[in-house]
Amino acid sequence: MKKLLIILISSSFLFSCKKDYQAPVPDFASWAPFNDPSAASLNIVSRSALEGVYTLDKGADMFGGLAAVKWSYTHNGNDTTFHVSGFFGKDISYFICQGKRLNDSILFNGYWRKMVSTETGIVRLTIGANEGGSLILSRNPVVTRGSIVIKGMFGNGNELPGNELSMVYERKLNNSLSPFLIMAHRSGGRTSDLLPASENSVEMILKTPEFGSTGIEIDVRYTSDGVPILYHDNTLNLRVVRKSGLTGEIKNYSFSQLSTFIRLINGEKIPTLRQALDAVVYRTDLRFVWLDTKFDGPIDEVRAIQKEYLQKAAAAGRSLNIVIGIPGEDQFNSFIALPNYQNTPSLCELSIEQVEQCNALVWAPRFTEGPQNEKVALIHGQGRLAFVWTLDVPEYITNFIQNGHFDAILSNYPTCVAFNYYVHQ
Amino acid sequence: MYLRNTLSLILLLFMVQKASGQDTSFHPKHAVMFFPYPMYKKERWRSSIGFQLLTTPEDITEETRIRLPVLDWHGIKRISDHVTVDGRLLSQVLQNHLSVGLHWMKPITKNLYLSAGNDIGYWFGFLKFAGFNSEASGWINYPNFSVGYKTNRELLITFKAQCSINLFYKSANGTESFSSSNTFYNGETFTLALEQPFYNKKHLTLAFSGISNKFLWQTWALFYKTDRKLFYPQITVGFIL
Repeated sequence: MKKLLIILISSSFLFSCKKDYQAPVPDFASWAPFNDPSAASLNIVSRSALEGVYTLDKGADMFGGLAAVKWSYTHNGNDTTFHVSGFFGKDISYFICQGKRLNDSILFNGYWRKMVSTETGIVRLTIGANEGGSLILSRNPVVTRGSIVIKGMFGNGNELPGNELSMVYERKLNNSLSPFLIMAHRSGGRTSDLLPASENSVEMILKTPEFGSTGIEIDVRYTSDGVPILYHDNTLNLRVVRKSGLTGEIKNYSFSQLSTFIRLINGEKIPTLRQALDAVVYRTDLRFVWLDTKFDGPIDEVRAIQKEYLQKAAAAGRSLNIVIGIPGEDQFNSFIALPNYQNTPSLCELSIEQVEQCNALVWAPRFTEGPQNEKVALIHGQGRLAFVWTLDVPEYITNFIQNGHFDAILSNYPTCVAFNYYVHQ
Repeated sequence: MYLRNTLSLILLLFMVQKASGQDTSFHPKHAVMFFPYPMYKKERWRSSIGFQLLTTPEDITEETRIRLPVLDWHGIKRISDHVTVDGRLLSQVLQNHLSVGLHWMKPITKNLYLSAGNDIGYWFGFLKFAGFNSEASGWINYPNFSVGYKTNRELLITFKAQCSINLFYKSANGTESFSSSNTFYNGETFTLALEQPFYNKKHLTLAFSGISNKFLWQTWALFYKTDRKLFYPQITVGFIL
């Protein structure tokens, strides 16, 4: 009995250390000045003027010494929502805020997050009239080093902010590698990184511009009734979806069954490829979509949707590229079985010979072989693009941007790519 | 954090030294690896060979979860009655871990034994095929403490608590590399080990571990460390030679 007791106590202690992590977006809505009826939106001139690289005077211990401040937007019908994001160099940290003007000051209200942990909190920032506010709100602002000071507080969780954050304008954002793409994995990031929307969801597509993304990679599979949907894994599992009682391979379920019974981790429905591309074309300014084919067999249906949405994007005046991913030999053979495949925009992860054979627009090697500058130069010489995937280690992201010549980095941490790209000199 | 752990260990050793327990002569039938039994003069070496099975967290490693067993060789060399050198080699060919450390053991009562120790581990891994050109290595420190309970039959039960402190990390992909000598508290491992005679006077170790770490050497090729501790259940089976 004594022996059994020892074993039971020890076992319970042994397995008690598993922790359920969460990083919910804090409730930042109740900031009186921000909600003042006279607080108004900023115009495009003011928004553009305050974009730049800032030096942190206060808060550098928490976020690092530099910040890249950049605006993004999404549409919903005739409404457009703007967010200002600050990308920091320490611990893959960032803030995402809404911005308003109040008299001659500018206010930012939102939250911050560290992607390496679950740390998050409210952030409230102000640009005072004499600290750049009046300048930014002028008709033709000329911003120089030191002319804008963003000051405010940040807190932990839902607590009122109590820690000082202060940033001084240093220089313009880098655009030297233009048109460099910041590609977000699985439409914005993995579900395991505890983001406010689930991977491969329409909601994540609408969030990802706030993370600095200018393009997305999404995973495409078929349902049992032939509907292309966004989903990464082979099976319905609790990593990706909520408990439903349904298990097994996703290809065995119809779209109607999935739509009725399955919800992603954050409550969203599994979207069709059409719903996802609708969101990209009509509600974001994303410039690139990589359709990662997670199925074997004919690509015709995906090709038809790709063509339809390229036409819709062109008709909407959007500069958007949509490519069909070719990750393996099976998909390669399916792709070259398509009629007119050589004129179908594609992204090939295989050898350069196969890239040439299928006339892929993009060659996309794994990051694990390094920057491969000679091969990238060869690809550029052929008029193609070179993307690298999936780069998540901050030190490597820095190295690839400083020493590599890729046209895009695919990452689960677009905020980290954005920071490194925009502060690069 | 590192200093705090070291001081705690020294204090613990001092307290245990002060607690004058009843010493018990080593009995050859208890050839154990986890149980904190002193090695008296009759014995020079103990060793075991076996394997470990580890499950990686599904939400992080997804469909590429490692399920390969790890070859496990464990050896103990007597220094004095109460002090041993503990060495261990864990291998999956493409990734390997070596550790060595000093352990101090003390009988408290006829049935209860304690030990405290510190091990230094070095791990290295390489992947050079199928689109990979990667290698990595690192140093880890493992302060540890064990409590052993000798039942009146032949079953020996050990509870071992071990900290993990990352000392150094180096990684390379193609021509790009980086290293970090940032020392950080990595996490802890709790192990419940059962040891008893198995066959032909040979002994068997069966250990269940709960590893809660920010970084685990076996996952170096799958993902980089985070500040979140991830949980890895592990089973160790060892045949004492």
